Amino acid sequence: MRFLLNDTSNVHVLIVEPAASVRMLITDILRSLGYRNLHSAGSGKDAVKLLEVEEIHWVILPLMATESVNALQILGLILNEPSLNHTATTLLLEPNSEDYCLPLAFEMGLLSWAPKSYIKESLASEFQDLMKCFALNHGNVTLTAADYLRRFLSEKRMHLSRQSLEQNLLSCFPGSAKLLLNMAEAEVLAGNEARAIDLLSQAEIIDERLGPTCKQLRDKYLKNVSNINLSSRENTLGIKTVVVIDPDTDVLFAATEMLQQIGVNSVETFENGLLAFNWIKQCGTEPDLIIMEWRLPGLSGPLLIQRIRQEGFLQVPIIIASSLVKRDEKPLLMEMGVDEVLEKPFDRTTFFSVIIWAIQQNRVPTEQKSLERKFRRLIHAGQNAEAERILAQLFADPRVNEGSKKGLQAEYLFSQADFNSACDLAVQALKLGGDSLSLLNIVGKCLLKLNQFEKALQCFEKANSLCSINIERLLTIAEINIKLDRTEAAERACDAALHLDAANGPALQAKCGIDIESGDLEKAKLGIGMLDSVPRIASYINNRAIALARAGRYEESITLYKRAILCLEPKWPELGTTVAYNLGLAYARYGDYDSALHILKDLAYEPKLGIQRKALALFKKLERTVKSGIRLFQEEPEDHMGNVDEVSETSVKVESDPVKLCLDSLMVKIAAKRGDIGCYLIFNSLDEIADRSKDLIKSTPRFTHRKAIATVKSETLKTGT
Amino acid sequence: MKALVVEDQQLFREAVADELTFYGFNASTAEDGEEGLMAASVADYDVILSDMRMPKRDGRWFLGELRKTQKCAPPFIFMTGFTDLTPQDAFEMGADGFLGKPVDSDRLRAVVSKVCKPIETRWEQKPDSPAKQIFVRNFDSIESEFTKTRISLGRGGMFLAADETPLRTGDLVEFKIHFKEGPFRSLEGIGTIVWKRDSCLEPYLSGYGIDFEFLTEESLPEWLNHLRSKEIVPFVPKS
Repeated sequence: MRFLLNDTSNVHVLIVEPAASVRMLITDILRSLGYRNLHSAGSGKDAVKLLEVEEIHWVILPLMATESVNALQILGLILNEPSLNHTATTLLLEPNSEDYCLPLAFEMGLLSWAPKSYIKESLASEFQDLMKCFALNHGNVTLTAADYLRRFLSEKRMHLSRQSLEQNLLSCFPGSAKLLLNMAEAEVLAGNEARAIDLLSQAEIIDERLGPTCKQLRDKYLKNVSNINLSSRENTLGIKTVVVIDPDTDVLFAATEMLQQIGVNSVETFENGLLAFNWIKQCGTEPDLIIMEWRLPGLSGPLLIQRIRQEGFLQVPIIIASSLVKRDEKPLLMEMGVDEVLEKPFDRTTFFSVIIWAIQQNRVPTEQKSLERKFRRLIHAGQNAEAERILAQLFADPRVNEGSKKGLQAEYLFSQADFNSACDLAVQALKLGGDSLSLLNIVGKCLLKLNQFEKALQCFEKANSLCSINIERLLTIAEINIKLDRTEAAERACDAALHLDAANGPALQAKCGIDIESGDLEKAKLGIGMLDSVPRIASYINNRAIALARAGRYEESITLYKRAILCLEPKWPELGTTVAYNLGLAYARYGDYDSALHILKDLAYEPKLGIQRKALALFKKLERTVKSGIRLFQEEPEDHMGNVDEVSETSVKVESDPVKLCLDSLMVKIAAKRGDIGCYLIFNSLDEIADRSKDLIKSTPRFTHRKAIATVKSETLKTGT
Repeated sequence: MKALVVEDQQLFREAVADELTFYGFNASTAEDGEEGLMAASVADYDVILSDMRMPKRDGRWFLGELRKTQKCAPPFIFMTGFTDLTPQDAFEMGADGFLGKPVDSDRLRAVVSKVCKPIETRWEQKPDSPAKQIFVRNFDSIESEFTKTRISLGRGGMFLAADETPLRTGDLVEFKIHFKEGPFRSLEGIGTIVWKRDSCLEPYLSGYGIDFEFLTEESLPEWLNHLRSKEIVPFVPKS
């Protein structure tokens, strides 16, 4: 997918320009630079037609603001059309009258721009500069685009936007010393000198060769800042306690040495996972950083991490230093809150760049993360006003990216039971490059509430493919499969959960439910005997029975209830009677009023039972029904299990399907990640984007991908070979 | 087949020795560089695996001393969690490979089985996965001064200059290198990038260190002649 701009013999270039003479001029320049595959179009409309049939790698075009198809529309097309995603664009603009469109253009993935010129030499040197910039950035389109964008933002003094650009770039290229320098400059310009000083020192630690450049920057911007002891590297990263856990004493020594060099005085080292955990637990306060091997004696990495987080140490960044993390385990690590994986063997430079990145990521967003956590706690506790206040605070923070904002808003709306809007927002957040795992979870939960089980399942399964060890999610997948009458798939998910944690209560309950259904009552009874609480079994049975009944398999649903009563009654009589009531209800629904009355009679006149009143009411209703001879159930079945309502059929009535969510196309959209297309998903202008430029993208030109058609439209002129 | 495991920590020493025994090696052990060198000078090993940081004499010293007398063999693999040497320096000094520690048994097996193959068959098998980039280069002669700054051959790989270095360590690359004259006419095959160097502030040209995985039938005889013509210490030269 990578394209190399300077691979002149293979790159196909499209030159768009209304004026024929200028078009020829640009064509000549590019040819003299060695490009062989040149195409040209006289208007935006023709350009779109050409893009439909030809594989183009690079488009050079003017703004064409007054034309029917303008440059920004073409940018939008390239961005949204998967087949065009990897086409680079260069804008040729009138420097003062047209550059208003640049912030938006860069947001949409523009590679570079150059001032319009009709002089061969100056245009040629612009293209040569682009080649140089591209080569200096080792062929990376994002860094190249960022160079152009940075220059523009600095000239226009858009310091806030610049700051956010640098921050996002750093998160894409963790530990890049050069980007740290750019970030430092951005911070100075935004008036944040203290942070700039830290960043400069960090860049120097990562790459000692940057010393002279750092000095230049200090001389340029920080001369007047007093109270800086530049020679001291004390606490450059602002971290005090670091825990290093590795069975290899060499790593422990090396890490201690290096950490002391940057002023960390308290480094605790452990060769054993369990000892480390006990120390951390006893210590009570969170360490500032944990660096650990993945395969550890005593307590292995995956379990150690979970225990650390369970203990409430949620803030501490964790770095895994190991070459034993399998590729497919990495997303799972991220979900468990691991910041970085450091491949072994690592050297000094990588060690520092990874640490510095992890600390930084954790620091600025620490506030964000802790705010997010607080927000979630408040939602959970139903303190909506306070939750809204925190949300507003997060929204006002320019460092929180748009994706996260929309995601949080989606969570809030979910808590307000506005599932349609929540779902919409979560999907938007996914498109903005938000954290796909948690967003997929929200979308899935919303769809569940909206009774879109198939789609919900797709979401959870997609999330599961990103991280397959989340037990709660596996059980949700099992539950949905039960609703969809796919017992085998449910059992598979349930087994997967038990495989991860054989003693997991909820998973065991789900398993018992499946055993009951398959008729293995002895096994089920044994399982139930070992459990401390069984609400999930009852909910499983009820969901399953409803699913069966809905499929017209009443007999099977009745058998299921009977078996459940047999299994539950000995240890959980209360639940047994609830299921018995449901059995009565099922009989009634089936039209077997005699059996229903028979069962309900026992329940209705047993005053000790919680369900007695309900049973009595139903019993009387049934008696009347039998006398009058009118069928009792025409409407949807009632739901009697309190804890089932999360996945219940009747909790939300959906008249239409306003969530026009096509998961496949969504997945294509989120497939373009940060760093794939220029500064797309990296740059979001914080300064006002000119309305004029927004007007330019009000409509989208029609585009039909037709790569098989080799003929080029007669009105477009093809030059070169 | 005989293997020597040099490692000061008992846990790792025994784990690796056991693993090698399991693969059919006759594995001996030593606890530091000095002991390792002693062992290597009295017996012929097919492969040596060594830690880097050890008491008394470390792995770097061990490799340096070993390659003074045993220039091309036996293959020497570093196993370490933290490396004091850059990969560039280690390969230049004559190391044949790197393994992280704790050692991944699959990687151990793959690395050891590759370096233990006789050179005649070592580069016969084409890798399954496709290369990320193809380097096509035409030079005058391998012996000309200009060419020497751009390509340099070692015992198991080469340094190849490149203006841009977007690829990563571990990526597979294909190469088609031709020389107008000299002992070498063509070198075509596939290799793994073991290190890369960015141009800025370095005395050397930017480019990649490439460990050969596969060489075409046409290139193989010339390459084997090259290996037999002189004793070469660097596995992948620095420049």
